[in-house]
Amino acid sequence: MLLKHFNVLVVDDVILMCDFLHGVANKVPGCSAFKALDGKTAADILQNENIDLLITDIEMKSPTGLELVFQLRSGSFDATSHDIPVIIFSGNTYLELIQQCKSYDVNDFLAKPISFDLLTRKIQHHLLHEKPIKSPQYYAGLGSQLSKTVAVPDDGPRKISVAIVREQEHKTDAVAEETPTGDKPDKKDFLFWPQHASTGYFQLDRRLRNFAFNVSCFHNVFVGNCKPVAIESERKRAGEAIDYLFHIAKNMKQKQRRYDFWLLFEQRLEKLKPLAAELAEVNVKHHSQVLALLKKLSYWWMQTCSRPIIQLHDENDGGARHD
Amino acid sequence: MTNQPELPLLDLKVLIAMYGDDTAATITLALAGFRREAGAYVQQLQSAAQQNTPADIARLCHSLKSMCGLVGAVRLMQLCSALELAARQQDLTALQAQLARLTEVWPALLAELNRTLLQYGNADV
Repeated sequence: MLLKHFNVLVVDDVILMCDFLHGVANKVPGCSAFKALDGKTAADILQNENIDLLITDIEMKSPTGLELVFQLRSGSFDATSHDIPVIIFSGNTYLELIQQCKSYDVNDFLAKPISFDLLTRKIQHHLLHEKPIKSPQYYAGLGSQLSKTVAVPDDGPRKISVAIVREQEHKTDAVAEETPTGDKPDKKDFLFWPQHASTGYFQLDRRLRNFAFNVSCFHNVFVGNCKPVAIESERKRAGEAIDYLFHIAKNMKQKQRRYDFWLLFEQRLEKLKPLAAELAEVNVKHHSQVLALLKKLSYWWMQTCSRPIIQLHDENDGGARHD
Repeated sequence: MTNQPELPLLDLKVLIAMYGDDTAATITLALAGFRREAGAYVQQLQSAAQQNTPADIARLCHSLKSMCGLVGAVRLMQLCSALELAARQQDLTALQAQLARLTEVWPALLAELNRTLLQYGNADV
């Protein structure tokens, strides 16, 4: 039986609190917890272990919880993805701290005291509900503003800008499907991640889901005849999703034992490499070229999202581990 | 002066709610851990008070406060909260008054901890 498994890191410089958090996280089904009594130890763990959720206090000796989150979000750790959920807590709920946490897209801010029941619910919630996280470069750019307070600049007339909001949702269907006519692109995605599917590696599942989402966005803007700038933007995001899949898989492979799985998955990734190169170079004005590429990506996805690489599991089976 | 009743030294209902467990093993583990760690923090706090370093006092009180909240040491938690505030505001008068209270509250809490641990079968007092 293939079961899900999550690695949770808890950080608090108070031993009693750290032990408490560690005990709670370890009791959540499917989770195993790591603990650190300071930011430096936490950074070492994030660097060397594939952590799926970070729970940290803010007020610690340097690096503080916020500095740790900054390092994480700006992609400083090899073994841990920058976009994992983060739960931060503090005994003091100062507005400035909350604003800084918000700027780093922290998933939850909890005020102490935190009970067993509350923390258990929060861990389960954030492991199952993804929040869109920006690129590491974006957070790296925020670094210089870490200690500054948030202020509203008064610099003349306000400029109005428009952004496309893209939100990744959990899909319930289990097939990859093309919609070349593009007549209802918002109702069915081009590629989707089957519900209750898992490779057995939480981080790999997330990257594959992200791949499907971003390739689907690229497909949707292309068949929807959106402006070239929007198509270029989605092409870039799809390329980044593929790059991140390669990056995560490479880091994970070195630490894992499922040789058969990694052999197969490596073969799939090798077949993805030329498609990634084609995606980077394809002229989006050449309709037939792009459609042919999308078809190849869809075919790759269908072959990859099948047994034995992914397996469906029952949500009630308690989840399982391979990490 | 206020007529408010003093908060309990130790409220085990808080500890049980926080840990989600009312077994003797959990209670003694939590209280013994608290007694050991809080004792060290109180010593450091008294040392910081002698050296008159409000930043250290605020930091130590902040940590001690969260520990107290976890095990239901309600009176000490309230005192730590007041101490932290006074230290952050550099209100030396309030700080001295609250530090004087610490010399009463901590020994009383320690005695209560020892009594409770003994009651739950922990003879290591």
